[in-house]
Amino acid sequence: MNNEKKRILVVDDEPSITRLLKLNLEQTGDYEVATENISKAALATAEDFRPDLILLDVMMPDLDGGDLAGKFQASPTTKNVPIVFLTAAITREEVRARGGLVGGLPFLAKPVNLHEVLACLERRLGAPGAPAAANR
Amino acid sequence: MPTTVSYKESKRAEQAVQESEQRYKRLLASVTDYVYSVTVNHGRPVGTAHGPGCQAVTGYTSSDFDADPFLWYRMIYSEDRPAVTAQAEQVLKGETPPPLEHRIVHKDGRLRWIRNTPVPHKDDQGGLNAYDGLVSDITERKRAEQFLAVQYLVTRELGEASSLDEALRRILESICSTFRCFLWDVAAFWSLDAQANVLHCRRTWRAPAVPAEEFEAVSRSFTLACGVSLPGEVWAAGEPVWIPDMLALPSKCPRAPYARKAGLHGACAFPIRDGEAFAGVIELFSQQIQPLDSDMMRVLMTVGAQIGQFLERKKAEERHRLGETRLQAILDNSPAVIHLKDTQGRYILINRRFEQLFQVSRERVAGKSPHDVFPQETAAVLRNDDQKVLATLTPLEFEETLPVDGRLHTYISVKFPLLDADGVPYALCGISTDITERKRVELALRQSRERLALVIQGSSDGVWDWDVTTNEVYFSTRWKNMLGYADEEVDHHFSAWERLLHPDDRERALAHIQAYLSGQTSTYELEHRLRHKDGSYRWILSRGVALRDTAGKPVRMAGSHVDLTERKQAEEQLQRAYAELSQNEAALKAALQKLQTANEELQATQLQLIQAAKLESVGTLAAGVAHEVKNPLQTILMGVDYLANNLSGGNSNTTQVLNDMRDAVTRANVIVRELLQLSAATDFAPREEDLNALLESSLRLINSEIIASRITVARKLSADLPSVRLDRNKMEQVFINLFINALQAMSQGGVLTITTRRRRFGEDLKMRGPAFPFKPGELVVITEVQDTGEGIHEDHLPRIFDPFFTTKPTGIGTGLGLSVVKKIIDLHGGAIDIRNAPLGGVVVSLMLRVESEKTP
Repeated sequence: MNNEKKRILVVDDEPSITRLLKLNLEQTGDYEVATENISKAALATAEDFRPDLILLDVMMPDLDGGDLAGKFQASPTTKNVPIVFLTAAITREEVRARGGLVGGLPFLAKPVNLHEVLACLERRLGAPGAPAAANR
Repeated sequence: MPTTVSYKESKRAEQAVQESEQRYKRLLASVTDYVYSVTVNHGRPVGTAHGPGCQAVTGYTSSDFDADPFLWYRMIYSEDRPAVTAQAEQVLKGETPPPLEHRIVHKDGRLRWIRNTPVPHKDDQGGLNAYDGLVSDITERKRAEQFLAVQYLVTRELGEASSLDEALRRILESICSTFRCFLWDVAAFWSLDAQANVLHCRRTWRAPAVPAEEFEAVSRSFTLACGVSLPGEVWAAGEPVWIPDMLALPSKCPRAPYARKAGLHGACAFPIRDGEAFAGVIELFSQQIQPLDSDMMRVLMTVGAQIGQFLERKKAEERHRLGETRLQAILDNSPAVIHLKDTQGRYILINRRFEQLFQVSRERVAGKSPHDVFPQETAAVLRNDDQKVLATLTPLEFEETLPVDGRLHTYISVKFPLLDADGVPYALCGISTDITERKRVELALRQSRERLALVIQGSSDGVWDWDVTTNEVYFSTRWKNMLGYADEEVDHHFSAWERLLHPDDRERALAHIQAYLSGQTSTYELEHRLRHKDGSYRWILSRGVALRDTAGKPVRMAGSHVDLTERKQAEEQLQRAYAELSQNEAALKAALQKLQTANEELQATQLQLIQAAKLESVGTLAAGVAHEVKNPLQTILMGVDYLANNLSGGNSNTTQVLNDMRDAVTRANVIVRELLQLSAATDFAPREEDLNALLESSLRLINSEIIASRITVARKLSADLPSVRLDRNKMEQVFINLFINALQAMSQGGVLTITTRRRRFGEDLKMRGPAFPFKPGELVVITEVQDTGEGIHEDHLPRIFDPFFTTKPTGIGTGLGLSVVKKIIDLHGGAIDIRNAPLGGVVVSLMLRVESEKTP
């Protein structure tokens, strides 16, 4: 069943957040999660891990999430991988008012609970167990 | 050589005679008894023969008595003659009286005590024909008895007396009357006045029959220097002085004539020492000549020493008493709570503060333990602290909580052991200072510092803080940025500001500051120009307040900078335009009208600019806070979710705890959101909107809360409401905030009434006043939100819009809701008023300007 698991890359400079997201998501049995706390290293990690989806923090030191998203989209390996921003820089109300999209990209506003994260992943990747929508 | 022989013989004989005479004298001296015989005829004494030995006892020979038949009578000390006569008469009557002890005057003038024991002789018919008297010299025994008696009396007097003065009165009398046999007739006590370095006669005594009143009075009036008169001599010599006969000596003593008048001969004086120090003199006088009596001298010296010891003891007692009184006085005047306990934890003493605070008296608390004074828990803590001190034998500091007037106060208690000479603790002392107020102040200070730091960080105004005494100035980053400088480019010194001053403004600016600092002006507000890094000058409004010391001298001054350049430029343009237009009188009125309008708009714009600038700074702050707070919240929320999935067993407590944590995260997030809303007010996008429709859509958003709160909504919406220019999202926030407040005010259910109407400003009495930014007659739309809750305390109304002010229980409100509402209404150029309705509940009135009268 392992090969049916969806692969998620979580990029956030806070280790406690990436650690807990990994624990929570992997516990569902539906996801395999890699984490990266250093934004500059995230592209290499993604090219290596080949995720089905990237959960991406926005405000990070050195390289922020917006710029990093540009790099993902520029890389042949990751250009089609869907990105969901996970950020503290926007309110839940704003996200909701904009239909979960800011600048055309989907957003989750921190703090977000597991239920909402899972719902978002399902929306983007389809129900667990279904073939990945994204390019492998 | 007969002559030689004869000479030798006669020499030997002479020597023998001399030896025999000396032996006789020695024998005589050892004789203390003799016998006299009285021949009686018909009951009358007809002859007396004094036996050998009479000379040893009386100094008179048998022949002396033979030659003078009345010598025996005269020899008897006058006071004792009646007793002797009575004894003799008893014998002559044929009785056998007991032995009589009486005094005689020895031929050498000294008094002697004798015991006279008569033995009658009777004839065959039982008639008395003679009697013998056995005379024994008992002087030595009597003296010894009296010395003992004096010492006993003195000891008793000193033991019973509370002061030396009281003791001396009786001691002088005791010495004299007990020694009457030796005839001390007058006594005086002189005490040392250490300050004046003289002796004062403090007390005298005189035998009743002695005519020495004048001598006594004179003595009492004298002060004697060292070496002067008898007491002065004793003082100078430090030793007793005995004068057998003063009158026989030439004297410079000022009292000599009075002593002579009183017939005083013998004198003796001895020092009284208080420890090592000389304290005074007792002097004794006699009408008799008093040959030196070393035994008596010794007794008197002992008396002197006893009095000295008494003085020493009294002083020690006094010192002790003073010490205690002084200590208690110090303790009682201390604001600290002080107590002394023994090592068993029982109170020895407490100070007045202790008595007042804990409502106990020192008499009642003595011997009690803290368990008898404080609640058991408190007492246990105190006892524990005490034991730590006794265990370590070092002073320790504790923070102790004690109940005062039913409230817990915090004390800093210093406790230390009191050690005896061997280092063994015998008591424990505690000194406690109430730091409740200090703690509260510290907390308040810390909060206000933090708040200040936030304000400075977030303010769009530049902030400066000038230490007037050192001329160091703190300039905030914004202060420097306003003039184009980076943080490190401006020195933190008064001169940095001076250097930036426009030369034309310099004199005026400095004078202005001086006038404020010296107190000539009560406020400091200065418009001046400062040089920007790019070389241009910026108009700056500086406002500040000085902090002064108790003497009114300024020590510190702090305030803010606001950039007025744009306003100033507008004003200058206005003035230029005004100048141009003034040339054409006809055009003037119209131009003026325009200018006025422009000016008003400018002022309105400026207000908005300032408002926006403030919001912007709060916004910067809020965004920072949001990021810093939301990440930890994210961790907590994820953690809670993880725990919820992994703590199996369904413990209801665990579930409850996790739910509480989720709620807490939500609450924290709401605060952050409202802060952001407060700041996000700058994205102002007004459009013509239907206010009634907006109210309805806002109500829909909180429909579930309305149902849950059992609230009825009453709508009184005007049908002909004109459309209003407003930012839909922001007004929605306003209405939701107001509705939620109303729901929370009606926790037991109630009615939420929403009213809209159109009015001309001024028609509605409730909406008059300078707080409203409308002109009379201007068309406005009024929205009222009314609840049926308990209303707002009148004291709270003035603060209702202050950020973080809330009347709701902790955890329910953030204190930001109405601040957000106010900001948004201000942004719309509208007005808001909150008041209690006459029949209960709160009415919130919003007033918005109608710009073009068309219905939606």
